[in-house]
Amino acid sequence: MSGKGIGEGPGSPVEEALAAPPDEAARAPVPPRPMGRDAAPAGTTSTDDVADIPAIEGAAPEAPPASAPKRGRDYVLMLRVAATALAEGGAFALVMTSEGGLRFALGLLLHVLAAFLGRAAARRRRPDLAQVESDLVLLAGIAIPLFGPLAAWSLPRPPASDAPENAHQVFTSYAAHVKPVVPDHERTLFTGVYEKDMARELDVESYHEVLVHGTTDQKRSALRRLAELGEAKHFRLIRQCLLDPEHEVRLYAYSELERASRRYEEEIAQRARELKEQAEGGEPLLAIARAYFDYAATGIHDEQMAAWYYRSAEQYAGVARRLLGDDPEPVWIQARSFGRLGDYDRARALLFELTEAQQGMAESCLARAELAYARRDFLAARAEAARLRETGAEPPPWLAALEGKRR
Amino acid sequence: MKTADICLVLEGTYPFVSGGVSSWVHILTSQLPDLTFTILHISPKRGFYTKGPVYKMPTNILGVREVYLHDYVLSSRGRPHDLREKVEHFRALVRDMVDGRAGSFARFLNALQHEEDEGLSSWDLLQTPESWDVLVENYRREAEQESFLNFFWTWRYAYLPLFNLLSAKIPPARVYHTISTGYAGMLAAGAKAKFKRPMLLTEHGIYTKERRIEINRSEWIQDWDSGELVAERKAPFFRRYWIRQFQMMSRITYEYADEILTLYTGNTFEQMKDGADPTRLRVIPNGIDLKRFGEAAAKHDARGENDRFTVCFVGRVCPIKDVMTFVSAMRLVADEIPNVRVRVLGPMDEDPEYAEMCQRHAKALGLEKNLAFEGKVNVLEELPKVDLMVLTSISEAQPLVILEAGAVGIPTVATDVGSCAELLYGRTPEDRAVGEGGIVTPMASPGETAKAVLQLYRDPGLRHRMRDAMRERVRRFYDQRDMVTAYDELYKRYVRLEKPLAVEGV
Repeated sequence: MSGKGIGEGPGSPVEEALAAPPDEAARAPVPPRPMGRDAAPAGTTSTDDVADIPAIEGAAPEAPPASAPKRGRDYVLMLRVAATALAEGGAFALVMTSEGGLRFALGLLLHVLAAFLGRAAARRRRPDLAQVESDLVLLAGIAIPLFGPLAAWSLPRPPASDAPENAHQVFTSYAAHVKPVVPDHERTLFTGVYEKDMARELDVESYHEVLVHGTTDQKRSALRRLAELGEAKHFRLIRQCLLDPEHEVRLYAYSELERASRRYEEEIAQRARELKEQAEGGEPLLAIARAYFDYAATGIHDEQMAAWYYRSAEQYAGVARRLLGDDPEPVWIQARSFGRLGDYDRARALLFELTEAQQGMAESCLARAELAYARRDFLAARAEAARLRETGAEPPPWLAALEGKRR
Repeated sequence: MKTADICLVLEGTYPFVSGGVSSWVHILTSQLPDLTFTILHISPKRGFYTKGPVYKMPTNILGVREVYLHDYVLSSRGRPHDLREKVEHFRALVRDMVDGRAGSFARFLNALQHEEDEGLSSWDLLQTPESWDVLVENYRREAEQESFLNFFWTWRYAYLPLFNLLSAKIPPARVYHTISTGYAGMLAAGAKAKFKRPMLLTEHGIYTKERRIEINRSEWIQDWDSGELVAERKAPFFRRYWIRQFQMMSRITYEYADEILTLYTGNTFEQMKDGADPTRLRVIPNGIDLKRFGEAAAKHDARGENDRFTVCFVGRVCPIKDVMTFVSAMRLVADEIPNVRVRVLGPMDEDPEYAEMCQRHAKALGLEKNLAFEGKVNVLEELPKVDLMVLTSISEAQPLVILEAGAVGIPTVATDVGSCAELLYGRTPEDRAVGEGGIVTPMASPGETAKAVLQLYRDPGLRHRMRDAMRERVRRFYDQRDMVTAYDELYKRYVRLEKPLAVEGV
């Protein structure tokens, strides 16, 4: 153990922010990735494709404009605030001393002028104010005497992110964004990229590092550990080792894949026997479709073979669907198989069919959201999240993160 | 047994098992009728090869003697008067094995002698208080963190077969030629030390590497698991122990071998890594009988186009050949060529469970109409009917089947293992200029294998170019006569040596 504190190791958002060049520092914290087994739709993300996920608005603080003030006194701002205060004071004096309509009208006019000056000052203070926000400042300035100069003076200054001391502020902003979608007990500095987290927190080399640069023994051990973890992304990494320059490592990778596939092969053989014994009825067909789908989704196979298993799963599920009538599972398997084969339109159509029949509605919403996510159609994914809530189910964190975002 | 010119020291192969090494031995013995051979075969135990020899041995093989690794009776023949002194040699051997030296082997052999002699017996080395001290001393030295019980049994199973072998009766011969290191290599080294005759080593696959992989993949060795998801920097102790044991056997074999031969250049690097003297290394590639395969080639050319595109796998149906991947790849091929004919030609009795799994897999993939497991056949008769050869092995040395297919005029799609790439793309610049004779694909990748098969199916021109290149390559570089001549010269040179060789320590 290195004794490094949380967030202090290499790769932490704080350090990244500190290390990044000035114009990139504000973007340093990456958008939060879904965490946990069911966090992201399988097949849509991997440990390597964080950079491919488009930035979700609000997920990371926007970089301030180049003209953003850094530190020190802003005399123009002070002048504007002073002018606003003077105008407000003048307006107050005129109104209080008015006896007739003219002085009162002049007082009001000066107050309105002060409100405009207040808005200008507020814009000086916060150049990144949206139009609607500056209009609100103006209206509030008209409605509430002295609001303009007070608002202009007390608005929080934007982070001057190119100053290293502001890295913490950037991180706080990032953490504040994360809080609403990640339960407190999961709210850590872990990025969700397990290899990076492990390297940082446990001071051990990541599997990826080991598989690229390790000794044969280390690689063998890493391959065994990855196989024990046993998710599709782990097997995909193991598959990559079939191209290792060293034949011995290729053999170890092969062994792990072979060991893992044996269980599925036996399952398929068992289902095939059952199908033979009960030639009629949809259940054995559904069972074999399920076995094919599970096998295809393991990540054990290369792309072409996985596609073949998905196609088989879809075909068996199609026949089972005709025999089983109302059972939603065959439709479900078909839709997911189409999704994995990249035929999103057919997958979507099937899932809508499932929704219309009010069968497994929450699941179908979730599946459609997965498809939308896979196509980077975040608007559609957000709509599915809303539908999911209507069914009474909570969207998973990766989907919840999309809710309330503008693009 | 009569003194033969050559004693071939073999482990688990000719004449009891068919395969690449066995074919090679059969060719060599048959093609050198002027020389006489005896075979010293190491079997796991008595009666293991129930079918007896699977080859019809030529008449110049004077006899086969079997020695057994795991058939032993531990009994005392009385305590030798100089036991303490002789056990010292054993202690030195063990220390050398731990430290990676081979110097004390000859002295130990001298002390061991033969069971009928006054030397040490397995009992003396495993059941006496003196030998117990050696065991405990070694446990304290290198394995104190491990279970003593595990260490005790590992120790016993590491040394008992070795003592058993080294005290076996060795037939007299002018030259000892072992076809692997490991137990066979130790036996040949022992023979050299005893008879002071030359010893040759030909490695097809690298024995140490094969054992290392086997040990690392094995599930019978129990490891202590820390439970942490950390990539360990080295293998667990008992795996390392066994690997070291085999490495040391190889080192001793390399030390004793007068010439170290192999089939292709890639192997020589592995041998040097394991301690072989580079000045003794030499490559003699495999070769095939061009005349016999020339006739098959004529048949192949005369038959014209097949009604059904025929893809063939030739080899034993066993895990190392990865027939499962072959079957999967053929499923993808059959999706594109519905009437493709796929033939698996090779014995299925080596691993019946695996063979059954492959058949089940083919059935599950719906290949009943396309694929047939035909068992052992005469390749000379069957190869002319084939359009394309596929080899999906996960480990190979120099597969004869590629050369045989090449001689007939069949291009091959093979995995990137052993010398497959060398055979298909060429070894030297002159060889490479001949052209490509097939396509090399990554192992365990049915998609890539299928892609290559389909590429060759769709492009008959490419297929024909590869056919011509492969025929030319085999004719120029892999003629069996070259291989046989090289061994003939080698054997005769060493057989003629009259003066006994000096062996250090004996």
